[in-house]
Amino acid sequence: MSARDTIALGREIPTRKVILHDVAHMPSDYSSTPGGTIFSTTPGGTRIVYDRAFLLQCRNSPLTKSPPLNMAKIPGVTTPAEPEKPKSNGKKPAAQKTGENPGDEPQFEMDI
Amino acid sequence: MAASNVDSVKAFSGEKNDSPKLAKKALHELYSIEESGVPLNTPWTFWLDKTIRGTTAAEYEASLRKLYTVNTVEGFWSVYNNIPNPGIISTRYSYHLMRHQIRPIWEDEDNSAGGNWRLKCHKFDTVDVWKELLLAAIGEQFSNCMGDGDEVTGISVSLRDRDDILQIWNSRADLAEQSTIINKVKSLLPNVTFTAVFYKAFVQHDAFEGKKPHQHR
Repeated sequence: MSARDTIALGREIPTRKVILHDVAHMPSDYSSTPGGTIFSTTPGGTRIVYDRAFLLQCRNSPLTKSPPLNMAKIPGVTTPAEPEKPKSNGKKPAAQKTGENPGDEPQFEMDI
Repeated sequence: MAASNVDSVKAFSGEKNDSPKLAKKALHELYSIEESGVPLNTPWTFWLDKTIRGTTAAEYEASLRKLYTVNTVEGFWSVYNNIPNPGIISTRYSYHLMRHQIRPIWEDEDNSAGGNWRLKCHKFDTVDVWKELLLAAIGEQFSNCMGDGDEVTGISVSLRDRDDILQIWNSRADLAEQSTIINKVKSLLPNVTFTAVFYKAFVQHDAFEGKKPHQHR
């Protein structure tokens, strides 16, 4: 009996009320509370917290392999190779052709 | 021939319309990443700037580029994984990850009452420090280290000729003394030697161009 009493006298779970003024403020999944946190044991209970291990685990999601399509394109930083490649590709083959062509053309004539 | 001409015109105009199509696709992808991803406590925005000594706030603002605002853990990684890490980008550049869409500008309303901790570290530690600070920020691991009413509003990394500079922005300079964030940072990065650590309120910087509140002299 005394054991039951101590259980009944357990600490009250702290709660806080959150008033929503817009449906858009509702969380997108059922596991989280409006204005609350996914982990019900978070001290303060007002923030969504993630530990390092969980965040690192998400790093390998297929969604993270490519940048967001509408991320700002900044040559030399977010698009390091793109602005330079077309130039070097354009020049190099031209330089190679002038060297190779004299040798190639007679061979084709021989075949015909 | 006429028909093929029409076709080619159509194809051509189709090509021309690629950008709205791409935008839609991008929006859709964005939507799906935001739908299926793990939500962050608040959105965070990646910024990039190139610092030139002695620039005015206006010149600095002009060099500031917004990269992307992320709302989910996956969104965060999709940017982080696809931008060069601070070990690669040239000196004088800075990355910032700011809460919501706060701009990394002292004088902005969101920042003017705040300040930042500056930590200098050796170049070989910069990439690690930047990553750990970002994870702690978006995971809200710093929230227990801050004074009541104060919060971390951004993390910056600035590449310099010698030691690089990491910055942790907070919203209330008057509450900075209550924060234990430096201990937290050191516990996250026990093997890193910080060559300098100090806090400064933005209004106390000589270069601060905003209105200086009266209580701060």
